[in-house]
Amino acid sequence: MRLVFLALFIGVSVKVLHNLHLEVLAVPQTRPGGYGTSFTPYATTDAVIRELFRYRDRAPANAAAHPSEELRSALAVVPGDAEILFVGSREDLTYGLAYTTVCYLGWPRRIYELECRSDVPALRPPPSARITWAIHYNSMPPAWSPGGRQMLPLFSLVSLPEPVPWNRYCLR
Amino acid sequence: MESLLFAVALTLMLVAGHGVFWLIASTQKKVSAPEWWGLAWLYGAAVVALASFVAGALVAGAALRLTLTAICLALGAAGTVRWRRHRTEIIWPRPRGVGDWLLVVVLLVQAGFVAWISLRTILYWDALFNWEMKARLAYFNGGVIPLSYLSGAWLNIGHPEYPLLLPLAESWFYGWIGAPHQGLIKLVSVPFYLAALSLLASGGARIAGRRWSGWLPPLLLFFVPFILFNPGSATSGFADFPLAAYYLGAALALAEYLETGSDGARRILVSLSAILPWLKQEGAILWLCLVALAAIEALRRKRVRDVWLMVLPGAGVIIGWQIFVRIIKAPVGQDFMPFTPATLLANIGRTPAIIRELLAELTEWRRWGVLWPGLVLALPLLKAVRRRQVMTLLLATVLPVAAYQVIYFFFRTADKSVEDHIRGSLPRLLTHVAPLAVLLVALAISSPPGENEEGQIESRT
Repeated sequence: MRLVFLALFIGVSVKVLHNLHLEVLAVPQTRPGGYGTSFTPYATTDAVIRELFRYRDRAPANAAAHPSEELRSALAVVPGDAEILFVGSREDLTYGLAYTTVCYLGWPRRIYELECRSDVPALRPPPSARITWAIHYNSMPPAWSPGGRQMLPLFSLVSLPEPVPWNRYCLR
Repeated sequence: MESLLFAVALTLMLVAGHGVFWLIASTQKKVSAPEWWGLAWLYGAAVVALASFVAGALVAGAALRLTLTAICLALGAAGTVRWRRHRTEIIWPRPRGVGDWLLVVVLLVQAGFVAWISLRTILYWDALFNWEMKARLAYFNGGVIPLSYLSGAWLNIGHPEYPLLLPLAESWFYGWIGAPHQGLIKLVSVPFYLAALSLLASGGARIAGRRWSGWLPPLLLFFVPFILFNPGSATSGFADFPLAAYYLGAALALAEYLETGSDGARRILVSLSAILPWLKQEGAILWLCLVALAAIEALRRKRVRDVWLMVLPGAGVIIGWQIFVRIIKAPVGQDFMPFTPATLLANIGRTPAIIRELLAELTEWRRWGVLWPGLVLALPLLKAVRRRQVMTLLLATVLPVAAYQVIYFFFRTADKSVEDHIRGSLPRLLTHVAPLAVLLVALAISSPPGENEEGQIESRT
């Protein structure tokens, strides 16, 4: 009875583990069919950004070798005390993940989220914010805005000559 | 070089934990080596994080690291002196025969596999944004988490109000490595897994009173799929499995204390349970469960002083952290409605959904294998094992699960249904008691039928 119990306990789990196909972890995620994370300082955020690329289908997963470091070095031109607007679309399901990842990599810069719905902005920075930079995620800068510089596929950075009210970004 | 510095940080943590262990548990006559090392890691991580939090208010950067290193070494030295003075006997697990050695090899392979999964998977959302991010911010701020973050003045992401054991322990490693490292930091999960294995081994052997009964619980832990590979697992970088390891240690100490009245077990119980709320918010619920179980027994024995000694450290951590959160004006989550009878009654209609989701999760074999149904089947077999300790461990397993279900009545369902919330959180919450459930199942399997509970166990008091 006890041995049957033990065999059942182990057997069911072995079956589950077999079905998980953990062998894909042995293949780096930069290769087709691979999910193994590299042993690097930005292993997770690199994987997250590559997933954003994959999901949006706007860039190949290997568009950037070290996307986190490239994003960080692109943000290096922004002063540490700058306030940045992260502009994206409410309809974009990856917006939240992209925003949080950029906040993580952009420390100590203060990055406000602005999801433009069809009518009103969903989230807004405080009135005191002096927005002099904007990151456009999977969206084009508005016509009135200066042209941006692409940091990575999907991400472009715009320097604004003077503080701009956030609500101008959501006007259609 | 990074790996070497990581090893230095790990060793210093173990030295501090070794010291704290002997300062707390030196009154015991016998201590098993796995328990010693398992608890040394748990105490080490907690004491480094706590010292970092306190000393970080005064110094930062290299001075903070130097201070913490001195504290680790001083604790290690003080503990060693105490251990030598009390001449506590250490019981080493000595494999006898081919069978034992085979089990040792299997355990090592399992632990190696867990380490491999840790290194080959990412830090999931909570691990990155709730825990590692704070370690990273602390690293960039000289080892101290910036107040501008904790107060929510920077950005309200990552729950600034969450307790800091894990982030500050991770930040200690970053300080030594010289840079944040999302890959290397996943290795911090492994000692928590090893600590749980050690405690399962020592607890299993002690409760069953048989040496070989110590092998089965750690071996079986590997066969719970959710423990291996999922958000909330031992390899995910979440705080849930470390919380489970601390809870396992505290519950084992509780079981021993209630049976033997051992002063050493009481000290381990009090200290480990006080750490729980410093690791994760649910730790306060786990602490409450342990204190309630211990207090009932202490009051039955009319030892009111013991009740206070059990309550005060944990209550101090919970209240102290809440005061800190209020003082710095950290943004507090709005996930729950007021904990009042009126709220409970207003949401009593959630009962069927809560029960339905709980039963569905407990029988979700792709996450848990046959652990939970196995626990029910194990109950009749556990009659042959020390009834008192087994009953304590069973209550320590069931009570938190029940408490977590009650909490769902108070959850604010603004943007998702209560079912969705339960599905998203219950697997992680069950992780907290899963090692205890594994221990009970293993004890049931390894106990020979019909054996009397008396005279099997060597008391270590």
